[in-house]
Amino acid sequence: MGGIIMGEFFKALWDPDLAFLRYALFLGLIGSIPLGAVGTFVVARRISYLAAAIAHSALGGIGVALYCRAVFGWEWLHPLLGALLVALIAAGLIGWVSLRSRQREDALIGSIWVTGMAVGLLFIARTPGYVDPMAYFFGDILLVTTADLWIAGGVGTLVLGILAIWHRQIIAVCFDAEYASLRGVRADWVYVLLLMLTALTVVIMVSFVGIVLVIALLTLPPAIAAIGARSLWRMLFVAIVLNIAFVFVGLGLSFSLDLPSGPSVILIAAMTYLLANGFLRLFSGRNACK
Amino acid sequence: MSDCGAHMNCDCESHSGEPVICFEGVSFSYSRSLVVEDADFDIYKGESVCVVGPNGGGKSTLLKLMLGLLQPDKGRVHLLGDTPKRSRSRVGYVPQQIDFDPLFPVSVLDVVLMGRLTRSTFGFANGRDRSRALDALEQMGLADRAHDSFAALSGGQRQAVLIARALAAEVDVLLLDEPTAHVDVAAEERLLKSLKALKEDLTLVTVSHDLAFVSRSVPKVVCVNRCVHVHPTTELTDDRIRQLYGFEVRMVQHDHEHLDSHGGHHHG
Repeated sequence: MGGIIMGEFFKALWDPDLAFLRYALFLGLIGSIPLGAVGTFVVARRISYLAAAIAHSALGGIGVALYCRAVFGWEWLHPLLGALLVALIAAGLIGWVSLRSRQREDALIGSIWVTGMAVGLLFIARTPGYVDPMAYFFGDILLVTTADLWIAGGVGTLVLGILAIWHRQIIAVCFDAEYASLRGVRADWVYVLLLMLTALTVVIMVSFVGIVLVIALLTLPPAIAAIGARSLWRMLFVAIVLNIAFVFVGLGLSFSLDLPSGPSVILIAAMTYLLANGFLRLFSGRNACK
Repeated sequence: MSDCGAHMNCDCESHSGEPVICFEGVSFSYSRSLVVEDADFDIYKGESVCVVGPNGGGKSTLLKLMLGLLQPDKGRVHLLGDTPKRSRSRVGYVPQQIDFDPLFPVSVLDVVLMGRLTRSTFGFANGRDRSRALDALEQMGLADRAHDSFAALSGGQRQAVLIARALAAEVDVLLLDEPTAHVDVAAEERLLKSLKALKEDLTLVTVSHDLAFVSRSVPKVVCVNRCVHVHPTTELTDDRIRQLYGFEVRMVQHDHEHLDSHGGHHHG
């Protein structure tokens, strides 16, 4: 059954009339690498909540970009560029709040989260013509264009380049910020840099899985990879491989069974996470009994 | 008005050159609670110094002031002839414990490599960084655990890895905050001896809860209980210990199988 479904998917990838499917797959594969890499640090540092706030606030940028394109004719302002800008601002604000605010940090971060969404929805409501916000919440592979691929490729390369240069500082700050600052590392800046990288990464996959579901793809594969991982490098590598596998299988299922692609990919990731945890409990329980 | 009395700076030994650590009338308080009052002392190159005092007396605060992690309310701290902030890359620090997430997947080698970080570190660790980190692990007897998960180690082994991290930095001053809280006093003494053997001119400042260890292992002691007094260890009498801890302290002699000399623990 699974072989037949994936067989249909492989055949469709070569169909000249189904270019959108190839674009979606390329976007998923391009995004999988920075998502797995940055997600590893997000999960290890336990800042998934902050990442979710950054992703949701990006809707503000999408709404403003759509409005400006329709009203002012700013065709150059791609919704992803608007999302990038607002997500980076949100990351800076959230970083500042989480480092400086000692009181009601969660409420402040929550307010940045919902303010971004509210601004986005208001601009979308005022944008002439019909815009379906659901496509940005949960993704729509029909929205993927070659411009998305170029943006994803450029932003993904930038994220991986920054990680390659500063990964040791990021690991040190995530593990022991006080010691890192004693070694001359600007721990606060590095922490904000990690949030900025998170902002860049989640925006890559907005067209594919949407701002709501992208957090699952950012955090679930590294969370599965963390089971039994002895180092961050192993966790990062496994997270990327899992991301690629989820994108491939999820997209194949969604095409063959005519289901929305974003939720299909996320459901497979979530089921794998639950199964992995179930097996872990089962085996650790057995070992404990021995 | 200070009630700390006269400070007994340990100028009893003659020292040439500038002090490595210099406290000039330093006071520090958390909120309104005065933790260190009018501290005035010097520590010179190559010295081994132990900081002792009751819990909450300000021992760890004193180390954090040396590192510039805390700023004094009054007075000045000099480290290696400059401000602590500017000089601290030449100082190794082993905290009493780190706020460590047991699920953080990091290898032992990656933790030790953090000691090789500087502000201008870019990219992957080079061969020299790796070989220095492996040497430091070897010195702590953990070379065979380099690729294991840090979380999988025992408390004592984790502490040893943190010491290796400090050693990997190739520092001039090493500050250890109860470095072997998870192991016995004999291991603590062995550790200090081996650290001094690694680098003779290394300046070593150790916080210890064990007075007997102090009396055997270091020639100079910094007594902290809000007020700071510095004595040669030979002058650490029962009377002074009673003043420091605020109650009767009895030195109980113990024989340690692995030690050359006799020692004891402080008991209230």
